[in-house]
Amino acid sequence: MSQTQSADLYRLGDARARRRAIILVALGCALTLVGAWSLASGAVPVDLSAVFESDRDAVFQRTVLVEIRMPRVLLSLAVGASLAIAGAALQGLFRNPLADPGLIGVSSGAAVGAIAYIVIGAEFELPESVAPYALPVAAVIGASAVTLCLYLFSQRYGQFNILTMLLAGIAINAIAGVGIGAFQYISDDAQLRTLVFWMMGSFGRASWDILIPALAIMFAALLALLRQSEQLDRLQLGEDQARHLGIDVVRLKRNVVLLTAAVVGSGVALSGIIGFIGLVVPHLVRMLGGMSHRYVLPGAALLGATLATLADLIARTIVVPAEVPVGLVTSAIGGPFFLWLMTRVRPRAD
Amino acid sequence: MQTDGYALNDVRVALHGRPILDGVSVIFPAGRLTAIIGPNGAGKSSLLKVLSGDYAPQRGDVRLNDRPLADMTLLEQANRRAVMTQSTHIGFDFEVAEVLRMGFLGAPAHRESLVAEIIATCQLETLLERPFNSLSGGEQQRVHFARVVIQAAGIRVDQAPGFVLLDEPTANLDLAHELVVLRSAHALATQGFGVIVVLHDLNLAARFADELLLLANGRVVAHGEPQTVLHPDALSQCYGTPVTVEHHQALDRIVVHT
Repeated sequence: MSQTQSADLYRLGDARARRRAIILVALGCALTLVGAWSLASGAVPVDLSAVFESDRDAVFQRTVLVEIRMPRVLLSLAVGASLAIAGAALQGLFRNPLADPGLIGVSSGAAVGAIAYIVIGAEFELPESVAPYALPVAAVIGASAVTLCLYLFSQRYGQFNILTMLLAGIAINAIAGVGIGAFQYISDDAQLRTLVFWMMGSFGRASWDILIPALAIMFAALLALLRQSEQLDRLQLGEDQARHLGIDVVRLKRNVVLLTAAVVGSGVALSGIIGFIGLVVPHLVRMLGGMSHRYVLPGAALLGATLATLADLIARTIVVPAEVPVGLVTSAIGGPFFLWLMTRVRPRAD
Repeated sequence: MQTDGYALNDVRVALHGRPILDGVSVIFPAGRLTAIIGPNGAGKSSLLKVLSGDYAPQRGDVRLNDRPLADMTLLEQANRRAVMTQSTHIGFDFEVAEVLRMGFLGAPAHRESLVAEIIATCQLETLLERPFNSLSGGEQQRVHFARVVIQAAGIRVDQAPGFVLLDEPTANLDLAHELVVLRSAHALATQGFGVIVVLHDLNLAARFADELLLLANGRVVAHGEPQTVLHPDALSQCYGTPVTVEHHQALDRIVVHT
């Protein structure tokens, strides 16, 4: 009798693991398809099977593909994956499905850093070789500064308290709003145009020279975030309970917050503020296959990359040859979704 | 020579300047079930929090098998003692089976039959696939108890004894499941674990505990066998209401009533 029950717990575990593996493989396939579709579509149609031929048309298509579309698709993949996994990790950290990189002020901090560079960066007269790196670095500095403030602020109250951090996030968003407004006020017309477009979010700035450093940061931080997943699962029992299971909760929080700042900061620098991916995607992934972060984090990365690329495809093909900012597309879908989610989230008993 | 046991030496804990525990020295031996009893605000849960490392005492020290708790890493502590707290809510809708698996600290394979036994004892077979947060308070408490016992089952007791700390494990349980949980807890003590339980119900404490620790106003009033600690005068004074203690002939055990 006891043997059948024991089989139950383990059989259930195996069945769940199998189902999740199938979902992850399916998400990977969807990502590949959307990526290829996005490479082939746009103002200039590219025939993916013919780009290696040598006639003039193929050479032109190859240039479009390699110089314009590939960096753009890569950027949307990386930013989508980053925002989604950052959202999933922060939700795990806050034990609340409504958490989002935008919520605790990380995105705003990155935005202030980036905008400061756009408006006053020219004053520094950076050498040609360094200039492409300056924008992402400014944004990561902004995101890290916010994170550091949150960290110090929360530590002052003894514990790295989640509620304190959420409230501090609201305050930081407001302060960042002042910073953004001030830089807008002193910017000239050309800078203002860049700012407005950038604030709405776009993958249009992608080019190889600015892409590589940001991709490297995002990829490393993504892998490091995946390593926190088992600990994030146990954190759901509560902070004391996780500590009783041997988890250094303070270090876990610090890791998640810093890694989130790195991925969000480098993403925001290149694409502006693209909202709601970090909120919507983890929720969809959980609906498909359950709550464990060992599945949710990689699943969110795959689905986030897919949906961001799809949203960008819509943004740049819906009014060809012009394009709408992709942030408008994600917010148009994400805003109503957020409201719907709020009605679904059960109020907590405690 | 190493002294096994969970030891507090002259422990003082104050919150917001008010002492919660003061001058508490006590040794909880392995292989015994010790129930901590006392009126509301006596410091029972605080004492358990000192043992689990949640509260760092302002004075005095805590030793687990003769090692200062403060010198042990969190993982070392988790591999030596399991803790059940009063909180039950968990973030996100994990299934019961997943919550139970969180109690595994190492490779779970060799414990398969043990886990099955725990699931059967706590009567969780039919709940395994349910979302944890959809369970009733009592069911959630049974799941947490089972998770803690699973964690304890992973403790390597061949070198030193393990400990299990339970903070009011019977708070939301019906009377049948109260007995199930306390019998399992006592079984752990029989296996060699030191089991330390905060209990409100003096009759359950009298029935299942090998030792009682009576606290009042953050101090130890009495510590010893149930029949010596459960003295009507001491209880009446601690609880501030007349308490009668008698030996029930038919049940053949101590019964406490007001």
